[in-house]
Amino acid sequence: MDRGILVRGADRAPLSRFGLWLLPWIALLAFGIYGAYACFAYGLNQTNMDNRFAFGLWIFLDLTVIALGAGAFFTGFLLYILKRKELKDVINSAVVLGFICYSGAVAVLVVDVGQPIRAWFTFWHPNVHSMLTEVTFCITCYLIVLLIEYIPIVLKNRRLRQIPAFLVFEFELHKLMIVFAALGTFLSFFHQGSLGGLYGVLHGRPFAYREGFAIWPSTFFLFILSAIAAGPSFLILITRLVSRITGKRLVGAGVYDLLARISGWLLAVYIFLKSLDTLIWLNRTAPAVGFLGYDFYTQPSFGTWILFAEIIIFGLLPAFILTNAKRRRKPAWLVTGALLTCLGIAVNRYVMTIQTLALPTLSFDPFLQYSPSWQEIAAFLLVVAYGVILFSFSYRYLPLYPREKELGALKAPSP
Amino acid sequence: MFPGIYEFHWDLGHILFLGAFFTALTVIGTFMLLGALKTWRDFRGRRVEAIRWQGEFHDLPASRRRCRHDVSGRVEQRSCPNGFDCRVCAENERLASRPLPGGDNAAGTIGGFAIHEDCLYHRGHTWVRPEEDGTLTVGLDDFGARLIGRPDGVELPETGTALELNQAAWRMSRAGATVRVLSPVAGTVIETGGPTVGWYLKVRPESAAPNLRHLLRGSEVRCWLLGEIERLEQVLSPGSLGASLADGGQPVKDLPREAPGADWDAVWGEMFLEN
Repeated sequence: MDRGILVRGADRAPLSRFGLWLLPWIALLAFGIYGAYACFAYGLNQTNMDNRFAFGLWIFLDLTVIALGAGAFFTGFLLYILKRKELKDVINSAVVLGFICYSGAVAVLVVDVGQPIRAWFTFWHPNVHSMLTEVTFCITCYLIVLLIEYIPIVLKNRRLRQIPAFLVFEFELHKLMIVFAALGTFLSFFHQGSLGGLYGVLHGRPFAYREGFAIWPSTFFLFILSAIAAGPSFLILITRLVSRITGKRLVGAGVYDLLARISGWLLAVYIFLKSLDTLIWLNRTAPAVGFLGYDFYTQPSFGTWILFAEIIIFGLLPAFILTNAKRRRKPAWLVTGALLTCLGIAVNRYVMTIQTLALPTLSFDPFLQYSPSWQEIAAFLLVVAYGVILFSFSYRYLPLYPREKELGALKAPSP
Repeated sequence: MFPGIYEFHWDLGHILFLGAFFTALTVIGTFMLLGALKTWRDFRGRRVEAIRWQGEFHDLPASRRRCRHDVSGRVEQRSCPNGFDCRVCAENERLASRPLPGGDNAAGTIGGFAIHEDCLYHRGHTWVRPEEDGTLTVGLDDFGARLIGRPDGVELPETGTALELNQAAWRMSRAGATVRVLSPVAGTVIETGGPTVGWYLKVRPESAAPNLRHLLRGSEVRCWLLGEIERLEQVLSPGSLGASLADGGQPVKDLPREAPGADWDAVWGEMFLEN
């Protein structure tokens, strides 16, 4: 039924089967919309956050998806600025993933701010001393950039290409992509960094506070590095997953290898600097304000195991896998390495968000417990469902993987 | 906006921070405007069809963008950077002077597909025959004709239509799928032929001595057609080893009728260079 708008020559499931695939995700989306509606209609008392525990599941989600979405700007940077042409195979999917991650994060923020109709305040009356202001400005600009990068991909749809205005606009926009790639890189560096800086400047939270360089705490640089290490891994994971689900080769083998190599080495550098930063923090920064390093790890939920897991299991181990050419060329090792890298970033963002707020900072402070309400979980699932649905539509109707046909995915005729 | 900003001061920090933000917005706005202006300029300059081909050529995999001299064996591994328009290629003259590995014989059949000595061939599966009156006759080559078989509909251009090289010359449809056929020459359509006399166009070229250097000739056609047959076999049976066409026999006149289960929309897109 939708044959005329499908990617020509790329085998796609019948519309009925595609509808069935979407059904559970649409149900999840509806559940998420209901949860978000509850927050809008009845207020943020629908969540389990309060004035003391103001960052919860949503901010953890935001930080994680924004780090994973870094694959979009970083792939654009490698392709358009550093001219790594082999990444043409994945640039479209990277842009779509980036758009999903960032628009999903903004959607959750809209729920999180409680009164989205006042969101314009942050632009009209910005507090220029706040890292959050920098994050808000950069993410807003970068989301616009991602939308502009997404437009040519949408206009490459077979039916839309028949409309001359769209065809020409896509062509001209494509020629300007190098500018948007450079701008995206600039904006991403700053907001990825500022998201880390946000925690690093918290003098009142010794668990998060870090020393740094000029006005930027070390977390500013660590967040940038961890995001550009995780972005390519996330791209590998999603591409492998789509490839597995559809049973097709979507990109050349060299693309996985390149992404894994980049991810592995960046992760190795990140883990080295993160370890160094942790040692400085444990031995100098925290003691300077009266804390022993071990004080932060006395609560059962957050023992030293979490630090060990973050640095060794989700850091050193994937770096060890991905930096080794023989290992990363084996699909099982490649996926394991990429998965551990992505999980490691999620653990880091979880620690920085949840552990920071849960730990007592004054002698009379209790250890705070937080578990998300169903409305928070619903809004979280809303983003997941939205991402799957948008990516599914994009894969079905847009040339997300330009070499898909060439790599042998053309439909075989019936005997 | 500045006076409304909370705690704004005219100091370096504030100016840098807000300046960076407004610069980013200005860059976005300026380049989007530039894109829109260029789009408008392209429309005014009637470049839509040229852009369509440029975009389609850009999206072709490297294996389909091979230079004619690579296809014919004069040179190894060379991609065409000019959208199959050898008239603007700086290398064409030099490469064309090299001898062809298989000699210069062309006429006859290749894998059962006819090629004619008096015709020049375009890589979009059309032939061009220069006539004595200075016009050019354009038609679908034997390979292309068998690929389409008996079309349900053909949209020929009206006489008087100006054609550009590599723009859509005419469209053919069958079983709900449509394919456009690229024009192998530039000129004005002065006559069209219907189903009873074979689908063709008669074109008056822009000059009395049209530049047809971009068209395949001699044994180049043989090498190219062999490659096309191989590609068709791959397209019709991806992943399998068996050749499905003309393996010792004659190809049928109407391939879609003989293999109705194949995705002919995809096959036509692949063979007629249309995404």
